[in-house]
Amino acid sequence: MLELRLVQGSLLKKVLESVKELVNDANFDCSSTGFSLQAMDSSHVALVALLLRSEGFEHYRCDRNISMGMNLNNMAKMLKCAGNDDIITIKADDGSDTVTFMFESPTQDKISDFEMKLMDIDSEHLGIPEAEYHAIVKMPSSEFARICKDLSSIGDTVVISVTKEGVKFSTKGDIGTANIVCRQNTSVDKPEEATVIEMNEPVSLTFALRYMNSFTKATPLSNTVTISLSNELPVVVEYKIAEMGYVRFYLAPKIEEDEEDTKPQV
Amino acid sequence: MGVGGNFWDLLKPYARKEGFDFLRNKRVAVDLSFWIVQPENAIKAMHVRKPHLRLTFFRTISLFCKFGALPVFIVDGSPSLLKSRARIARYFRCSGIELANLPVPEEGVSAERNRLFSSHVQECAELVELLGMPVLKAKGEAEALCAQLNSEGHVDACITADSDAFLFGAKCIIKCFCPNSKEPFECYNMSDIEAGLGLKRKHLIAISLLVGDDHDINGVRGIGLDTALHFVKAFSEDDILNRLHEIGKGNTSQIPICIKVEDNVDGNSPNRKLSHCSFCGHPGSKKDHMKFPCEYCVTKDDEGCQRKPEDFKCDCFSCDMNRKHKEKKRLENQHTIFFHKIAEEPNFPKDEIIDMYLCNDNGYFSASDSPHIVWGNPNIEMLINFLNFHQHWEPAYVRRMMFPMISTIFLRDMTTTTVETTLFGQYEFDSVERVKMRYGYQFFVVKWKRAGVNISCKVPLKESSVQQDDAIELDEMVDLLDDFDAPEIHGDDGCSFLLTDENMDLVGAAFPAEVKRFWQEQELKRIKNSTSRSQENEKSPSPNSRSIQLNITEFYPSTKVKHRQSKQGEESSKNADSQGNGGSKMKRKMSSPDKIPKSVRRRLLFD
Repeated sequence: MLELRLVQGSLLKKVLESVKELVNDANFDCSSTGFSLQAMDSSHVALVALLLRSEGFEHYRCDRNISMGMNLNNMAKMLKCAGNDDIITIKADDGSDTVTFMFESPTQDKISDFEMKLMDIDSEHLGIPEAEYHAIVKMPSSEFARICKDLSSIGDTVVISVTKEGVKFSTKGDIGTANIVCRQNTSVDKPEEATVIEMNEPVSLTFALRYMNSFTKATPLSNTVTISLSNELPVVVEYKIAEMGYVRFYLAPKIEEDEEDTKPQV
Repeated sequence: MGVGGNFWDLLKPYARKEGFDFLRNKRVAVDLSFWIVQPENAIKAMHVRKPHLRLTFFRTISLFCKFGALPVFIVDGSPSLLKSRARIARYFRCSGIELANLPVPEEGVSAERNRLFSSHVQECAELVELLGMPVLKAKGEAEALCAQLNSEGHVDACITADSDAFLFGAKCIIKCFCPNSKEPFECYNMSDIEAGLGLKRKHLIAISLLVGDDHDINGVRGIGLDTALHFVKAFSEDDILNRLHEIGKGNTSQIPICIKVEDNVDGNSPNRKLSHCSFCGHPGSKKDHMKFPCEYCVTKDDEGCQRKPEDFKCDCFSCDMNRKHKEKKRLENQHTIFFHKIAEEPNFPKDEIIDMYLCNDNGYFSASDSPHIVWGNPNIEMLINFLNFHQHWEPAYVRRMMFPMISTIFLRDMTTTTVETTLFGQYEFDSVERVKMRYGYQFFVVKWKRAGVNISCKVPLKESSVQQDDAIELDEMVDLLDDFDAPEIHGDDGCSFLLTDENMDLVGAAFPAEVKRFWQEQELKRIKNSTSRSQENEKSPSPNSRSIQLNITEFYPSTKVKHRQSKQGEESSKNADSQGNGGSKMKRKMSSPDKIPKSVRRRLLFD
């Protein structure tokens, strides 16, 4: 059987809010090491990977590996019934077709339990290799969210370029162009407000802003966001979850059409 | 003039504002003297040579070419004896001469209008004849003949401001004719007047007899338009004139009073009114009501009657009967006075006036013969001589001003015959230049090319154009009175062209191939414009669609095989557990037979 008890229940609420916009249905995999999720969006352009390590739970019991298929919208509705300070317990029996969420108020004077039906979801599992990245940018997550929001009002794609001067976010649309440059600043008082850039070689990639804005729904999970880039590879946007895990978003890049290809069409 | 009082105001609600094409291909009777009187009053102060001829010339061309009407000009004959007498009386009244000195015209001799006016009418009649328009002379009133032609179907409308035309039998009158507006025609239809007012032709004649008209200024003394209208509506058209005769003779007893009176009132008219309480106003005496409340005042037994309010009207049965009786008496008195006034009028109604209005023989043609109404070609040479003599216009100027009429006739004739292909022997159809909007209506601007271009012709054209400019300067002031568009002169590559505004249907019927080609060219232009716009539209989305979105699965391979391997690992671990933990297996066997429900199980696990 499975029994997980998370004292900081709001973390799970935030995780669902950040993922449900991208993914409709997903399989939650529970093993002795932790509670994890991997799912793609419907068009297979973006991938989300979630890990909550078992050490982060107050109580973690998993007798055998179990996979639970859930509709994330329904799950979010369930978790919405929990208070921000409630303790959340997840229970499931072996071979059962339901999962139970139990919410306890901090003073234990109110206890709720919700039972949700599980789904049988057949999904692909992609192998993500450990990779060396050409550039890694660590910056305040609220700043990154603001940049993506501002640029999406100008155009629908963003070019992220990393050079030794800093990281530049560019877009252009019918009304004009926009460029936002963030330089490295490590001399701030608070570490979470710093922008740190590690660059092995210059990188320039183009992405759809629509997905970037979906990723920034995870901003409440963490004060900082880490953006890892390699030329011609998907970008990784990672938000840490306290001391117990992470949620990572992978987005495939856009490539420019070759002029030779467009000439015959004209 | 016409019917006295405010007769046109009575008809005002039934006026229709008709549009530009209202008179197209319609035959219109025009009271020529009406045309001449109007401008004469307007142009008195201006020093223009013979304005009546000038205005008749340009108005006829506008009516014929721009509005597409077919005018028939009606000239006044001798006025009736009654009208002469009325006119003399009006003159004397205005001049202040005593009525005692009023001359009595001898029988059989009618006074003509003033000679100057008559000569103007004669000149205008001669002019419109030279323009090819039919001219008819009336035996008496011109509007009488206009109305007769309209009634008999020889023309479709009458242009006159004289309301007599309806009394003479007209069906459609155009009262106002303003060429410079979107709705140039103020039109009155007899059918609208019948439907709206309930008045037919003989009703109108009766009203004019009572109120007064051109032939009897005063009418019946003391009777105005409202009274006459009220009386006339009570009778049918066939009966109204007979009733007037009987009233005139004093036979009022035979005329039924058109008041619906209740029989009860007639039978039970009380001679005196019941006594009423002065306190509460209801029947009874004040003394009785002080003791006991009357049945009308619904009050408690303790209290007496209520005091009557101001403006109190008793609604008891006897008072109601009394009021109806009074009303009946009042109406009877009104009719008695009315009949008395009519009876007092000597020789009323005048049969000469009635016969004149109902006469159907106003023209010099018999009932079996139709009037001679034919629209011919204008006599250009005679016109040039006529206008040169009277207006001092140059021949070139006359030809240019005549060009719209010639082109209109040419286009009309093209649908029937192809005798001539040139205008004035000089110009021929070239092309449709463009579409022109005037007062909300579309016209073709037609290009006329000078035929047989010679080098020697260029010089005379320039000279004539200079002369034309001089002529135009002289007539500039008068141009303000009437809107008239002279043809434009357009020079191109040594050839000279004239541009006229023509009716689209007329041009389409005369030169269908040319018009079709014109519309095709317009369509091509439109397509080119839309093509360029679509090209612009195609360009704008192209920057956005430059990049191609890649798929995430292209970068990270699927690991379903690994997933299966992990499942096999699970199975092997299951076997190990089962071998090692026999005790736990026994525990499960013990719990399963109990069949504990889920909720209880959940509670136990929680504890």
